[in-house]
Amino acid sequence: MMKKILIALFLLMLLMGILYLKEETADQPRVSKYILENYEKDTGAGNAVTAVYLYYRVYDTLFEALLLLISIIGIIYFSRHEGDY
Amino acid sequence: MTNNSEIMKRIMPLMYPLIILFGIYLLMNGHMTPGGGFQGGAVLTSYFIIQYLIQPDKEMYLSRIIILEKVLFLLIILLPCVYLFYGLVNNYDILKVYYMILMNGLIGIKVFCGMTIIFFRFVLFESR
Amino acid sequence: MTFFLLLLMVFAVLSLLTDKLITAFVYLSVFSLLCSICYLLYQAPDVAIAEAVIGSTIATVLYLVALKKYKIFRVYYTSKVKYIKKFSWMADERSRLEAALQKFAKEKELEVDMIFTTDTLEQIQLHYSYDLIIESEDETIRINGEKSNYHYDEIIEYLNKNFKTIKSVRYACLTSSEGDGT
Repeated sequence: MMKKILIALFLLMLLMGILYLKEETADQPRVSKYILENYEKDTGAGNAVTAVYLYYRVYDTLFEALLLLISIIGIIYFSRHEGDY
Repeated sequence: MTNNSEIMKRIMPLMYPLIILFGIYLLMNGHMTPGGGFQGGAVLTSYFIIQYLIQPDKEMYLSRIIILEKVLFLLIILLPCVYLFYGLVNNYDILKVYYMILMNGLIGIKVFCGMTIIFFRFVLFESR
Repeated sequence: MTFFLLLLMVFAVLSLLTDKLITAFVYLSVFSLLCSICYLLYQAPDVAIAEAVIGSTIATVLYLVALKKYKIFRVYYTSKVKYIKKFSWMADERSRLEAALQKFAKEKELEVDMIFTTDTLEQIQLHYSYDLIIESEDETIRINGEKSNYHYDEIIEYLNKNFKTIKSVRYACLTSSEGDGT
């Protein structure tokens, strides 16, 4: 019981910390401002999300595709039984 | 799953074309409207899930889908390498939209293949 | 907006507190749908589409298929009587109950795993994962099961319907203890 109360207190403090951090960094300049101003000129897309994941953050997309491939290899390996290919 | 409900059998064949149409719309218009590769592929996946719910015994050719997925991954790596890193993006303005559509389509089909493989592996091969 | 967020909390708590897994899956599916509505109201339609398709449809279908594929049905058999006479009335009754269980399992495509132990009911409840515990006394056979086990109601219904001749069977509903871990 004592342990659970401690964990709850810890989570509460974490929440307060996150809220405090959010207020700290709210005013600083961001990348999003640049992207929102320039994405149509840079990429020719009408949707800012697509512009981000196909142009500004291509590496993310590539490695996400790799992640899907690896997870599928893992699933095929673990669900293999005798007699399957 | 031998006794499927009558409702599924009657309604789902009517829903097939609408679902496929919506998935292809998400893929093709991903650069202008909300949507994109991942969402379109996930919508297309429900095609095979519905097929499983209606006819569980229908034969699947999973090995072909696995090969297709690997080839698509290679293409997804190659296309940005040629287009973005080689510098074509700064020279030809007209290629920009085609690049978006092509990448969205490739990612969509890859996600479609991947989710189909995951689903059918879990359904057909687990717990035997 | 606030209404949907409150509904989210309600469905999350409901899915934790239900006894049966299958109801929890349905609640989780509704939770995902509400989540996608919230994303839409936060003006993120891309995330909303992905959440609606993945969380609400594909994950639910996968959960349900996994629940259907879980096939091993574990039955513990324990006896309070020290010496069982081989040709007594009780032994006859017991073998008929066993046959009935096997027939039920064949109908539902389950595999029955019969385990005979000398442990008492409380020990089995504490230490093992079980689906049913059959406990035989002098005059009666008691079938113990948890209400959260989704085959338990089906078994009672099946035995009442098809095997009325087994007179000595009594049913007892166990409440799941907190530190069960199963």
